[in-house]
Amino acid sequence: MSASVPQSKPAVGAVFSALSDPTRRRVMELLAHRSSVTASGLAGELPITRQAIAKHLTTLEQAGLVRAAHEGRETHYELTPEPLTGAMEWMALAGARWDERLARLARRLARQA
Amino acid sequence: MAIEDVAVRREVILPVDRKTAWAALEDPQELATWLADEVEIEIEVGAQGWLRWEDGEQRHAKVEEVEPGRRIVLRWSESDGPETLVEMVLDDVSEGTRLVVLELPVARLEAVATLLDQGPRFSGGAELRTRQGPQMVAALA
Repeated sequence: MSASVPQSKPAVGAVFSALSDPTRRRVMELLAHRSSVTASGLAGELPITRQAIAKHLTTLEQAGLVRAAHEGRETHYELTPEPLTGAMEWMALAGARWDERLARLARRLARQA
Repeated sequence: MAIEDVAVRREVILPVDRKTAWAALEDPQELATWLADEVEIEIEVGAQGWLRWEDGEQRHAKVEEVEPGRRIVLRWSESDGPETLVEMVLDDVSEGTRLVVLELPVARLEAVATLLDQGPRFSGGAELRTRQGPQMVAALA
């Protein structure tokens, strides 16, 4: 499925599966604070390659979480209002925040160990 | 899916003993190195204060429960989000210490507590699970 507009509302399972990955949650979190992102743009902010980011964005698109718009050579992605309801958005973002906090704590304590 | 249906659970193995891990949880200065960027709250039952992040977010927090060396339950809220309960529990494991974090909206816990017609309104998730056994595990799974 590569259509820019999902044909029907994706299953909740697809949404959670898409959000089970910390990088994809991070992408969702970044998207929550801006109107759109591109794979190249995110490559400057995340410690993975542009290609890997493009793959994650495709997964998010297939789950119906983001929508793609082609502008010139770049594909811009923006959050779709559905199917990420307020509750699911809370869970995705709260989870992403804990991933970051716990990674910071583990790094700090590893230095003390 | 409603806000009453959601919860976040994370766990991490910390390569230190439980005493060292606890120090990172109960000291506001330590909390400011990982939980938030600025922490103004004492980890004592009933204490209230603030946590702030570099991105401008800030949350009012209250300490609900403290079991020294093992467990902290906070209640916090941000201006545009639901009030949630955060439980942090430490356990000894062979590699060091396991920290399990459970965050869930207070609305959810109230719904579950009402369902089970059980005691304190704002007890933490793991404690509830201990007391309620499989029923609570199913409800919070």
